[in-house]
Amino acid sequence: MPSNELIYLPAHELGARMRRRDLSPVEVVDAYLARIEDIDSKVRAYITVCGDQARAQARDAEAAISKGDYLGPLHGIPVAVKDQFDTAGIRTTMASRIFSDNVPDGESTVTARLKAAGTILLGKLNMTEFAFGDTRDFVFGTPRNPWNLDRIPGSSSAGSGIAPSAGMTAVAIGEDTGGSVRLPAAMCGIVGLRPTTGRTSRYRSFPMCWSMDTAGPMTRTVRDCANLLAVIAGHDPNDPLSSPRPVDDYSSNLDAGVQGMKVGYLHQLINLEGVDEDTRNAVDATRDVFQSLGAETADVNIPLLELAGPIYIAIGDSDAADTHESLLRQRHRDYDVATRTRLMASSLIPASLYHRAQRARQLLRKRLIETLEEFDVLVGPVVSTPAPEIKEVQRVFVSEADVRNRIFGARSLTTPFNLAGLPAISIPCGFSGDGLPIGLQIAGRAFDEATVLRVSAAYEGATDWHTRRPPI
Amino acid sequence: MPKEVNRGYSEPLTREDVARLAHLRGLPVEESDLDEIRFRLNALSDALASLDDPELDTTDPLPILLDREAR
Repeated sequence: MPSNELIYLPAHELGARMRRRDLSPVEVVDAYLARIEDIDSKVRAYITVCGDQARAQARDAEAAISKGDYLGPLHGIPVAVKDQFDTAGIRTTMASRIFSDNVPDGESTVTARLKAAGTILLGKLNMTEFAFGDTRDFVFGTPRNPWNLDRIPGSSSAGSGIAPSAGMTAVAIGEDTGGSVRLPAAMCGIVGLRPTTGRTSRYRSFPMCWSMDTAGPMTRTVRDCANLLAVIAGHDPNDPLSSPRPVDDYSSNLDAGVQGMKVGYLHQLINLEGVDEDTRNAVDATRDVFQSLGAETADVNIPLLELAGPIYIAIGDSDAADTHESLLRQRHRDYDVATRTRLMASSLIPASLYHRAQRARQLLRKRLIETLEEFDVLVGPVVSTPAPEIKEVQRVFVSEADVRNRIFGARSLTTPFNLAGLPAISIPCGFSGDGLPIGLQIAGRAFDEATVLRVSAAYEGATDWHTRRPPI
Repeated sequence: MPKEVNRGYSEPLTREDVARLAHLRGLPVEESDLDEIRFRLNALSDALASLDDPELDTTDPLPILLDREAR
């Protein structure tokens, strides 16, 4: 099989062929490493590539599978991980100058579980500095959208969006505090799931906001997303927020369809100021698809939803300010200026405002949970426009109105579900007039990722957006 | 009596306010960062002050979202 076809096979297809011994993990790893060698200088998806180690792991996987020691659907599958998760003996930088030579002595729970499932680590992926959203000067190169190199790939899990989209890995892991899995998934045209708070472990993942940080799978298909979630989900005694609930079988019900399900359309988010016509039309058009599949659709209004952005920033950034306080005192010139000014501002948020935001968060959570008693899932846009130009995002803020216009509205699309701790996914649902991907957000009840994935699979099966490839 | 809205600071912060507050917090601040810091902080204060929901003041500001049923 030509390598340009191999690198775009779904991971579950790669896994099936490896299990039948029709395909060698070594061949697959070599194809991805060649692709990385070929285009990473253009898109800057990777901070560290683990070529020799990946080849050795691939040989081990091949030998194990040949002996019948098959570990499951991800055995032998190449994975790349956001450089926010500690990997023992492999540099972990948070895309920060401060940690540019940091080599952890231990493993995050997420990467330990990937390893135990037999995956092969291709490398560590680029991101915005410390998982903040608007880095201006990238220490390891500016990540670029494979659909248009002048556009951002989305943040903060930038490389985790680029790499699956551009055929530079089979699957990837991102981390979503305020949208950091769903935003790059939407902008790069792939699938990205932010699981329920507590479903995946935060252990040895560099923190941004302790109550919202959540590791999530980023893949080219919904089935791959389900398989990857099954590997990284589950209780971890090292994380006090980790839930002891048993992990669902996410893949067995993927083909069950949406007949009789109720899909709520988040009216305020779809019609939020700043949501462009292409995005609104693409999201609106999904109603016809769900209805044709037998689902019932209706508009939903939830008070406070459109103000989630500033509520999230008050809480998330305050937590981050606490995490970074010591480093900010000692190394403030080593931060990117956008990260630094954001951290400085959040260091000065009065407790009364923080508490006001927490009150709003609880209200929003209560209302979303109540609404989800009536609807199986809630849907809306992930991002207000397709991927913007890099130079536009890197502009200095020139007024309070500039902050409001560029940040608050846009952050209100994904953050309601982080604030409420609910699962939400982005799946491809169309393209803009200038050929950029558009994502559909589907959110569900706490710990009901299985339904979110089932609805996503039904939509994916009825459309072909996920089969398109970037021109790079 | 009109309801008093707590916006955190009593008026929009100036560059000098930001420099002074950062100093009191022991945080080093670059002169060139002052405007962007105050824009961010003032915009956030305004947005949170403008939250107008009848249930807001009667909702507890619980900081965590534990999966209580499962614990």
